[in-house]
Amino acid sequence: MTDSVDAAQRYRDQIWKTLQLVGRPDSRFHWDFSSFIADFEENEVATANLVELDAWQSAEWVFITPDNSTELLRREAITAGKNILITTYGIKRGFMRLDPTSVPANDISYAATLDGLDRYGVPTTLAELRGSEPLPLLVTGGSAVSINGIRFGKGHGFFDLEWAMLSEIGLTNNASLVIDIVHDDQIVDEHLRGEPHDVPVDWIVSNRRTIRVPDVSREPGRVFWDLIPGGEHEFLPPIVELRAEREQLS
Amino acid sequence: MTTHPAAAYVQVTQELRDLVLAEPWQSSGVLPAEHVLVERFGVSRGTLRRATEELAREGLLLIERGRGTSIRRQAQLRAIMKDQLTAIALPDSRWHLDVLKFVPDFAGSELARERLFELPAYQAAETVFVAPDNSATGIIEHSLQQGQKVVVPTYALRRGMVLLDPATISSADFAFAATLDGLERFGETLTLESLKRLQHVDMLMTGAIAFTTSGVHVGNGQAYLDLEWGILATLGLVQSSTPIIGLAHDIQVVDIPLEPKPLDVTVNTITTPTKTLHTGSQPQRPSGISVKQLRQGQTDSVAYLSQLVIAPEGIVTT
Repeated sequence: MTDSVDAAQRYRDQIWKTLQLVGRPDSRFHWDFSSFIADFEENEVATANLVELDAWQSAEWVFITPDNSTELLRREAITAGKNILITTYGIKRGFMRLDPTSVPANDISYAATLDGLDRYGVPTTLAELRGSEPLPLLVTGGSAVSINGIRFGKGHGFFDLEWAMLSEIGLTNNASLVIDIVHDDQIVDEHLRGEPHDVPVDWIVSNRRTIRVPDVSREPGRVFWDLIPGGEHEFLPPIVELRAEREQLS
Repeated sequence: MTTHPAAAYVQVTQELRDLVLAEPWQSSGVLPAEHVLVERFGVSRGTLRRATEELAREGLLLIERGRGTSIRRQAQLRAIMKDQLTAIALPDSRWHLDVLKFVPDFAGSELARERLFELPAYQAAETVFVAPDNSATGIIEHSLQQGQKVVVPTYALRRGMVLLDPATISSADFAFAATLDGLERFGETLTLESLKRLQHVDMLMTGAIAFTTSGVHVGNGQAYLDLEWGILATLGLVQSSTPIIGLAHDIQVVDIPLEPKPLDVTVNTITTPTKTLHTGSQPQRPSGISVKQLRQGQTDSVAYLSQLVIAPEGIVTT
């Protein structure tokens, strides 16, 4: 097995070149695709593919990452009356809930953007989330994903951490499904082995394909506390919150 | 007890920064001689130099061989404002509370905007320029409601300016269109040619890190307002008489003797939640862009600049 860290960076580099062609710029980061997960050409086709899945249609609430590539899906979620759980960009201000009934019909597209999230979203702590129904579905974007469901984001491990934190408070279980929505050119036709903290996805949905990844084995998520001190996640509000809880227990 | 040299350098850098930030506005702004500071901080000359050079890299100090080290006053003000701004800022969707990366909105900004909307020049304007500041989002929305065409730069002017035309946007979408994310969807990218076809821009509106009561605009140090003015002026869309209005929280308006640099664009009026301040500034404004105002790399990163005639030296005023 090749060094997977190098491999990950190689795939990201390759995919960022692809994004120069099919990616859409961000309102702050423009074409700096290392700073955000880009929206892409024909996202409306990928989103239409995704909303056909039973996993989507049956979900009453869903975690969706704050990526530009999932903006259109958030619009679909609000329109369909699904409650959204989301993080703020980079998890810097923790989680937010977006209640579809709080969004006027005229502002659904607005509320689906990150700027709109700051207007219509409600910040929520992990303590407030604890005890909620487990999430039947989590949807993420990414820079690249292998055919066996190993994904790469911006290289900060945000989605893996989100999964881990939500798992720690009981918001995921064995029935929770994970979908990655990407441009077809972001799919790497190789089988890769993930890192222990990687969260393999059950479905890959693109503008051309809907792939059910076979035999996904996913450990129950947990925060790798030994990796937190001194790292970039150390002071993210939900991590601070979880750490305080742990310290109280011990 | 001995102190590790690296620790001494970090400490003296912090002490020197504190000294600089506390320097009165009325003083000369020149740091005491090196030997005085060496004695004061109790460190070696080498350690002091490292600290001085570090603050020069941050942009807070200007080292001129033979003339001593002086304080960059705009950077001083920016550094002082940073903490105060963080306390009142509403977070940005990407930058959160990193207030030197964007101009934040703040609680009560609607009162400042209401004052701005009362200005006769605003009411008479057909086409306005609004900086992509979060505090100005409400201005864009209101301008669209007034039927004004709105020219907005993309963030950091990276992808040029865009036009929001109320004739082509549903009024239900004005609030969305006024945000930076909405701009991506509703803004029509302006080439230099299409900018020129607008013929005139009647008013400019902007937020800031801070304004002085005399009208000096202190932004994030990249001088985007000056560049934006220069671009519009080069195309003949604005003249020195075109009003520039600042919008700010009261704590962002400071009464200090900060001289504008020769190519700085000053504002005529500042509105805050509690007051409308006419700065008395009736400036001669640049009629274009000079090489002197460009920061490192901006010719490549800022749209339009590679296509515009840029004056090598000072600038001709209109």
